[in-house]
Amino acid sequence: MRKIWTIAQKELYIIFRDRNLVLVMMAAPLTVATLIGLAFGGGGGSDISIRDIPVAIVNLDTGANEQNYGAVYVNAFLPPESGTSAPACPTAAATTTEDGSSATLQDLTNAVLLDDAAAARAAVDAGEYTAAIIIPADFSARISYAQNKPIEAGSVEVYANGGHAITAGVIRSITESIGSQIATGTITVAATIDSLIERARSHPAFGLAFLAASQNGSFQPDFACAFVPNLSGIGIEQQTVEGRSSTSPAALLVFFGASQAMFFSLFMGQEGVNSLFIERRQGTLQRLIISPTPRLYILIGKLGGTFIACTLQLVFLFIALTLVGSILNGGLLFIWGNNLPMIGLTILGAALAATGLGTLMAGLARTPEQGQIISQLLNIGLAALGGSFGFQLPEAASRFSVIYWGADAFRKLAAGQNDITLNLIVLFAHGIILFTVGFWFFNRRADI
Amino acid sequence: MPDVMVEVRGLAKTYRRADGSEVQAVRGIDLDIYKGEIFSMLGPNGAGKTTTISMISGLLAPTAGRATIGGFSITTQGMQAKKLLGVVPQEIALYPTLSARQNLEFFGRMYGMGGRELQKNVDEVLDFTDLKERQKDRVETFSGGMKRRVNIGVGLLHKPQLVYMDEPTVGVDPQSRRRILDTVIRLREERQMTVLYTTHLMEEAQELSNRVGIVDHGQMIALGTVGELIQKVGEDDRLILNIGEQSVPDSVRTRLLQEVPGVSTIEFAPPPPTNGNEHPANSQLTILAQRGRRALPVIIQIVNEARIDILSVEVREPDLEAVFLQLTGRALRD
Repeated sequence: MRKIWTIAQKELYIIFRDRNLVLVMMAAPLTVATLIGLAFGGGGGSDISIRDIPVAIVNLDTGANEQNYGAVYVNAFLPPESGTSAPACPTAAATTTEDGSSATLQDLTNAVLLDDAAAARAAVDAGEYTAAIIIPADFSARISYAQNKPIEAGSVEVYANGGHAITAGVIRSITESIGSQIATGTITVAATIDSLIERARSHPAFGLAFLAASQNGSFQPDFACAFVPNLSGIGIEQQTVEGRSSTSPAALLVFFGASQAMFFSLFMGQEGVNSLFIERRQGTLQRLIISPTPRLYILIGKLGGTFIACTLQLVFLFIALTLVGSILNGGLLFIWGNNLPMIGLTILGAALAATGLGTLMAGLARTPEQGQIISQLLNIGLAALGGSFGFQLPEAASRFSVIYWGADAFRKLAAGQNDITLNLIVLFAHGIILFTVGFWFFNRRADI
Repeated sequence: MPDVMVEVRGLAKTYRRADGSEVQAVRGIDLDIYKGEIFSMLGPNGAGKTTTISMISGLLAPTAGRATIGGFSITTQGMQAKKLLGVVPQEIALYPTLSARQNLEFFGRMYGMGGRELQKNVDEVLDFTDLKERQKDRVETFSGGMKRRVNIGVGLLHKPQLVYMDEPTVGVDPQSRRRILDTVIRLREERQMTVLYTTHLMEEAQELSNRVGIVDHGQMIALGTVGELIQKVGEDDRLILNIGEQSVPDSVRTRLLQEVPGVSTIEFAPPPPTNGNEHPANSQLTILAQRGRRALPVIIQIVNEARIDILSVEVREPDLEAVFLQLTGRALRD
């Protein structure tokens, strides 16, 4: 083990002493992602689709005058059957993405109804949810209309995870929007009832007819839809998820930072493995083989150094992109979320995949030049498939690229989604299989 | 009977070409190298020296045969055998971006050294190679001679019982060459190391070696002390006639063999090709003859009668070059 570590240490020392290499591997992805974020972040850029934001809703509202305005929030985020009193309204909160596809609020979020506000806050702190929407018990009582009772200000708590600034901001924006809608609906109902009373006072015949209609059931007012976002006749400018995303350089930094980090980690993997050829050419590999060090140790040490270099590269990019993203965001923004264990696992999986791909190239290529050309073509092909160049191919095609699986995992984590098991399986399997096959090829032709 | 350090029996290596045909690089070599001796393996480029040594040092797997170092089989007890072996490759095999000391420390660790033992050995090697003042400088900033010294130092660092030096004087200036040869002698005199030395320069082999093995076409064609090998060619002198760009017709060779007493071998070497800018080198006619100085007037007469102008004549006493010439029919430099 000591020899393996010595070889890996030497690899790292040589890699990180090469200023040009460090500049390309560290600064280039950071610069590209930042420039794209700044260039397209002001609008006009491609939209970033954010979906399945995990949200907890706690409706403590006890209602007032047979109305529960907290249920409006619940119905907006959850499918109607899960709500307490679903309004019989057309599609709620439908928004349209820029590619023309329609997305409801239920598509954009993955909401869960909870009973306990403290438990919801704890789950947010634990990273289980991006945000918790907590509706207080007196919410309906405060904002509902009654004669001789003024409408009071009601407030809904949005308890957000600081690690998911973008998606938490989206939830906060939607919550504010729904709150505005309820306020508008309340005012509309109040104004309608006031006008009916006023008219009954000035036209007694209308008042009598209205009273009769109310008593025989032919007049059944349903104000519920007045509280549903987007269905009100009174326009409230609602900031959509897509609208928010397209104007956020930080969100583009999440998107391109993830794919650029993956793209350049492949180059780091390739660069490290190229050192095998360089060592063979400069005679140091032969010298190592002549020493009492098993060949397997030599290969593991060298590729271990490459793996660590890839890992450090991705960690550096996570920190650097977080700094840049925080500056662009105007506040702390963990670029890939704050679920550090899962980010760590994804980084390890991505580094393993990059090293595995490099090993395969080292095993297949006969010369360093051949290895470099094939690797570069392959990396560029994988980058195009995986969306590193700013355009996204159909997902079915993207899935052939390891860049897709890594970048997708980082984006999901950025959106507060922790279900990246499949991504991790693909990344680790990719790395292990390619490393094994590459090692077999390399060892087969190790007669130096 | 001295102790055997290296024992080689029936060692062979066959390569398969891309077209499926086979090339026999080494064809069953038998060899014993004794403890504390300098053994030189002599032969022209492509004779199979490096392939043989690569198999002995565990770099290449033999197609057939076996080799042991200090009694340990290089194929089945590779780790033990390799601990006894230090290698000084022909090309500089160092990390250019690391310092001399870092290179030595790294390779020392690959031989299982660490801590004080490693630092002590590194200091000793830096002293031995006279590189202490430049130990912290990157190897890439060194002159060719200094790189050679670090290259040698890495091979000596773990105090091996056997040191293999593969043509260590190729491409070095005369001063560095002299220094390397002195180092080899010191290894035997001061450290009682066994040295396996390959070269195609017979002067070096003659100066350094206790015994010499001559390799050609993958076979050991002669083995013994320098004196023993020279005896094989008897007292033949070697006459070298430089004849410009001219060729030598077969009739002249026939006359020399038939009419000059004591002539045993005649070898003609045409001038090596030039790139057009260089002054063309001379063709050489090399003749092995007993009492060469006496035979010289007759030889000159026959050559002149064939209208071949002789530019210069050298008469050399019997040496390893003559041995090789007699055994193979061609000069060592070919």
